[in-house]
Amino acid sequence: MKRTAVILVLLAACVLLSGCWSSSPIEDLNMIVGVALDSADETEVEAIFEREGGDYPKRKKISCTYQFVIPQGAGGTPKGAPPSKNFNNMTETGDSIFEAVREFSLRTNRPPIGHHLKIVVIGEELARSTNISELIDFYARDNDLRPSVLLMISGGKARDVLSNSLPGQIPSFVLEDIFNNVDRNSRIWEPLSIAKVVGLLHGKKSFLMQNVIISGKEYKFAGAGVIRGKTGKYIGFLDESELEGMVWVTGKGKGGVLKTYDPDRDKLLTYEINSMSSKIKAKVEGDDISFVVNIKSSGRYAEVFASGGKKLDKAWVEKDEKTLQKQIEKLAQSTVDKMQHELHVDVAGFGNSLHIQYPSVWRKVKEDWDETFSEIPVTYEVKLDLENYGASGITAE
Amino acid sequence: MVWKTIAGLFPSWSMLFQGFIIFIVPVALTRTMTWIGAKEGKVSTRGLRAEGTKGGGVPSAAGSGGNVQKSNPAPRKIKEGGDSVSVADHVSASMTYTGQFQEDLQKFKEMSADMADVNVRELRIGALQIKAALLFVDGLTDKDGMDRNILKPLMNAMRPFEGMTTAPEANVLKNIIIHQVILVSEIEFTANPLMSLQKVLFGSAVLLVEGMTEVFVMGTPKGRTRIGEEPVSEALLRGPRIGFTETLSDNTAMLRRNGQNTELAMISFTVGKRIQKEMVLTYIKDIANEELVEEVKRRIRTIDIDDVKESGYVEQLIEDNYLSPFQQIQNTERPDRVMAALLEGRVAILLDGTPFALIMPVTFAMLLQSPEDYYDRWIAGSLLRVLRFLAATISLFGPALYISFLSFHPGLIPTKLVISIINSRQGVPFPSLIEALIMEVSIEILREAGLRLPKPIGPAMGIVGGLIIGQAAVEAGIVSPILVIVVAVTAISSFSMPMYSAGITLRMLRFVAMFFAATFGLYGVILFFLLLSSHLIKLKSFGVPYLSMAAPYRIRDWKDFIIRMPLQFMKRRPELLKPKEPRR
Repeated sequence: MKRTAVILVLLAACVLLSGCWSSSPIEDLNMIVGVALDSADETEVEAIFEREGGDYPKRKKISCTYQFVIPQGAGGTPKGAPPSKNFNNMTETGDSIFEAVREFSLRTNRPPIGHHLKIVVIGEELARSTNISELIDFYARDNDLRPSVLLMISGGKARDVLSNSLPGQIPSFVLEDIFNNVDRNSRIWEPLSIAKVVGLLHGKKSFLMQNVIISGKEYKFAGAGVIRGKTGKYIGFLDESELEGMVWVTGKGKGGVLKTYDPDRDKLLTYEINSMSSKIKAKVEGDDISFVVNIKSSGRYAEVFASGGKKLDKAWVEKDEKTLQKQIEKLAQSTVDKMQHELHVDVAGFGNSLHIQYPSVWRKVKEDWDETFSEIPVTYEVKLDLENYGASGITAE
Repeated sequence: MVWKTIAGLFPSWSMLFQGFIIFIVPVALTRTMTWIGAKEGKVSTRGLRAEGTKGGGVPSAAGSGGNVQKSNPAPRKIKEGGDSVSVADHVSASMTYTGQFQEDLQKFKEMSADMADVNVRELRIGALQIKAALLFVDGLTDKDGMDRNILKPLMNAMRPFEGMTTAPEANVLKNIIIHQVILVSEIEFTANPLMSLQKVLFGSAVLLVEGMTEVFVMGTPKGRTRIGEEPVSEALLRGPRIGFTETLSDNTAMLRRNGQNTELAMISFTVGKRIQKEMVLTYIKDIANEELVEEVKRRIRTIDIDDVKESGYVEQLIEDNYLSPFQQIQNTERPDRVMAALLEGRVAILLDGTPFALIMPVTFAMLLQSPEDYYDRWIAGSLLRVLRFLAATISLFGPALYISFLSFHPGLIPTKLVISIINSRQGVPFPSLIEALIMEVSIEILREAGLRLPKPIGPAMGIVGGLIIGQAAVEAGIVSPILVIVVAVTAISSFSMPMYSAGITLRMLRFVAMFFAATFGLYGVILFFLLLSSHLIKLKSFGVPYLSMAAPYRIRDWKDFIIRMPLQFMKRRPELLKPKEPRR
């Protein structure tokens, strides 16, 4: 009997002593949804803190701005009340990103958690001076954060991107969701997650990062920043139409608009992209390397201003197809030109194609690929298929 | 230096403590179970059961198999074959009727002195005016029938006695009365007054005739019977609208009518030491496995109790593991369900006085099946069955998942939902476990209250409780609205269990799951699931593994597991029962 009692007490102790192991009630947490990284630029709040004695040894290199959700506004506001601001940004300047996060524990009662971090925006100035791999090291290492966090670059101050939004919106969510519009516009570069970037940086491959700019309370995805693989630093910028050309070269678009003018009559001709694909073929003859970019697309007339000709006339359609093909080629060419002669990087995956198709050649050139690439001739073969003329046979006459 | 290295290898105290705990928990659990097993073995005859080979040769899973208790076998004298055995027959075995009418009548009256409901009706038989008395119990006998078929013919018996002047010999008189006078089909004789009293008390009428040492025992029981209405506990949309009643003979007749088959065996037992009841074990001779039948018989013989009030008593006394939260014997009110089980090779027990029949052996999947699965077309049946598996899962894990997500894994909830949950939980003063317990306990109370209330009030109660209390609790800020949804869905899911008692099991286990979740989060829920699985794997019902089909894995029987295949494909009976005739 006594022994039973002892056993029971031990069992009870096991259950009771373990308690609620590492339990942390959800309502006591502060959700981080977005991060902006800028080169050091202290906010007013920070300056006052420092003056009052809230200082610790640090090199002032990076300003981390964290965006937290204020739940009151996000899930059903009280009836009648105007939508209040439903996010809260806090900035901490220092050299360690992790230290900055933990520094917030001195400033709020609810500990920040990163499970729901959506987006990291890096300021252009910081990206120019610092290796991206140093900036994202914490985000790639931490076990709370997801490797699916998206990375972006901002032409201006990243902090400002996260500071403004229309009432009722949370900037981080808006930015994340704009990526979903990739089937509507071909000037969006594919979302770049931490998981992908880690691999690219490790392989010293150059890549593109979607650029975002703001004006007032509105955003715009505008072109993309170019990161050189060797240094991991920002070296330049592709504007919107160059990015469009890049999308055509890589075939990564899912839809969007292609606009050109009828060469004979200077009338607008707009084409809606249904699908696109591209294949980069490497050709090696002796020591000479060349590339052929094979672009295929199908789609439909979206807007046609040019009048005349017989409706649904095959020759007419073929002529339009040619015009559009030329436009695509032009876009692609200008982008590749910029890569080769201005930026001296390869971010379109030409190196990859060579690597796969001619591994032995690749081994010889890979050391200095970005420079080698600048000298290589690229030709284009564009095939476009206008398969749908739209519901209207009447053009604007 | 060497010592320092060695000392450095010695684990720290916290590590040692952890090791100790890891060691002690399973040991303690095992010891407790052994102890409980031993205790139980001492107080009951359950240990006896462990002797069989197949079909229940399983020691009751509590582990009493190790130390089979043979010290207290207490073999009960139970005869098969229907005629009951008087408890007190040895007391007055020598007492018999003498043939002297007044003396015998007096004897009977003395015996029934304190039984006011035993009536004595004296009469004179026929033309010869032979003294006789009819003894019966008011209310148990069919008075109309008695008047018409016994009294009237006896008193009017002129022709059989034509030409006689004195009462004939006892034998002749007996023959005349049986053959020519009484219009009752069921007649027995006994010379034992105690026996006759017993018969009278059980509803027969006894006729005492002058000059005869034996009395007539005539079956005229009326017993207030109920018409087999649709079972309340197992309502079906489609299917026979008849259920068992409280009368055993009606029930067996119902089965006979349901399955007109010469192989349908009905074996009668008498159970209960003090108050005896008739029980029928039924199975189909050329299907049911003999070992299974033998095992069931053996277990029935170990029943040692004063009175078996309901088939629940039998269930509890013959099941394999009384510590398990899962029922190992299925109860049902539906004859069609019993018949279907018999045709699969199972065995059923019917008990007098209750409409609930017992089916054994049982597997887990059976608890989630409804006869409708077979009556509807197979696609609909399968869909409903999948739905029930889902409902069982929700009913078991719903609140546990809520607790573990909210307290441990905010990262696993979609972002927008997290925001609205945080929003709705602002100002809730309790941790999620307490919050969930408050709601779960109150809904259980509501359910219990609704069950006890008279029928017209019951549903109103549910509405008042469910809607108003839920709404008020949310507005008062005691619980979050999300939890109300979780609790409501969980409650509805547990209602969708076709077996009421299976629903109760899941309801109870849900609370255990909630505590596991509150302690360790999802990890705890998975631990709980593993614990449950290991218990279920070990559990057997009459030698058949409880999780049969899933484990041990029998792909052939899966035709009737989570989905129900078309009937054309179900040509074989479930293999797990090892039926004699495997093909249908």
